[in-house]
Amino acid sequence: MEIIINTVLSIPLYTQLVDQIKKAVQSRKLKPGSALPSIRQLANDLNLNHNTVAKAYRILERDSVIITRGYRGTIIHPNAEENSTVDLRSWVINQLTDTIKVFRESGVTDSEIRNAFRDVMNNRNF
Amino acid sequence: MIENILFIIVLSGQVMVISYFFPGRIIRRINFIFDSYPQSTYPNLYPEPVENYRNGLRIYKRMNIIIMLAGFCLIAYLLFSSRSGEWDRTIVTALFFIQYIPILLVEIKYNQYYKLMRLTAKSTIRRAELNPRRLFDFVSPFSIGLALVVYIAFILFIIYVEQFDFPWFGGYLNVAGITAVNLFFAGIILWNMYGKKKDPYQSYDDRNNQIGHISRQMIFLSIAVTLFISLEIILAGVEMRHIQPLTTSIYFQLLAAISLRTLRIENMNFEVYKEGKAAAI
Repeated sequence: MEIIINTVLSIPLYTQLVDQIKKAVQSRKLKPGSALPSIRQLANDLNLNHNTVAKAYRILERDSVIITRGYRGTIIHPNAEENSTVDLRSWVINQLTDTIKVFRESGVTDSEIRNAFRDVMNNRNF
Repeated sequence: MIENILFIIVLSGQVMVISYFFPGRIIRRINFIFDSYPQSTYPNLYPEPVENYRNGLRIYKRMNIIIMLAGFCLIAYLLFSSRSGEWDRTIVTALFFIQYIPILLVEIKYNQYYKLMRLTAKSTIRRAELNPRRLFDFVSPFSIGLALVVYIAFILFIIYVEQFDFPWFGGYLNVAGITAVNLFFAGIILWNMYGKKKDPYQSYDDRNNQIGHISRQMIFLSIAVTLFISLEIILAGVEMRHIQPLTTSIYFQLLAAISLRTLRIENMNFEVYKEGKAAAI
């Protein structure tokens, strides 16, 4: 199973990694229990920063597509196939789209939404 | 007398093996690549004009010829001069280090070559196989087990010899030295397995073959070094130091035979170096 990363695409490198691993799980190229390379190995093979691969693995682990077992390595989750259909990114975009729509209908300007969003993300008001 | 003749024969062997036989093989191999995979068809293989590499190869050949001739002059001198033999081991070792200079230069040149290759391979596509690499994918458990058994036997041997209080015996420093050497070899294996690959165009199968080759080399070297040090201690213990120049020279030839072995060209994929082929990283 080959991973191909295109460095000039606008899609972040870790997203390309996550998407390809999820597609491989869905197409059953990667079966439950299959071992994945270590972060170091994959990062060096793809000539990427280790943090980029680590981030992709963290997202896959959060989505229950992979299981990290410390020094014993990383394997594909037993329920990876159904879990990899869940697209949190799309869900976040849909939720934000709905929320922004409500704000706009209430007369909030785009710059006010951006500033408020930035403040919330920067945790200033909490 | 017999020992003197044997020493001259073994030293001649050292000169021939390290400065003639293996360099000849390396030169023939590289020339075969130049002729079979020319720059016009395989441009990715040559980050510099091929003539630069041919010049480097000529220098390597001349260096080896000079060292070989110097080695034979030394042997002629040893043959016709009266000597006590106390410097024989130093002569063998010094000659070995001189013989290794061209090999070191080739290694440096190889590193420069791959560095330049990586700089010129400006691909935006990076590829990797999603398979984990494990040690036993490349070397048999038997080889690893054998190296471990030899290492443990060496420690037990040192504990045994330590009882005799030989004034020349380094004691547990020998264990520390062999442990450091083995860690160094293990580091090379791990670096090859998990580190960045030198050749950006190298195919996945070729890389695996190379990792297997280097791993096996390191394991054989580990066994050879451990056995050699054990033999040295045994020879010193049984007052047979006079044959140490012979064993040292044979050991150096064995080291060269292990470390200068290369992968078969026929099994390598040169298609990746053709025009238009993107680097794999």
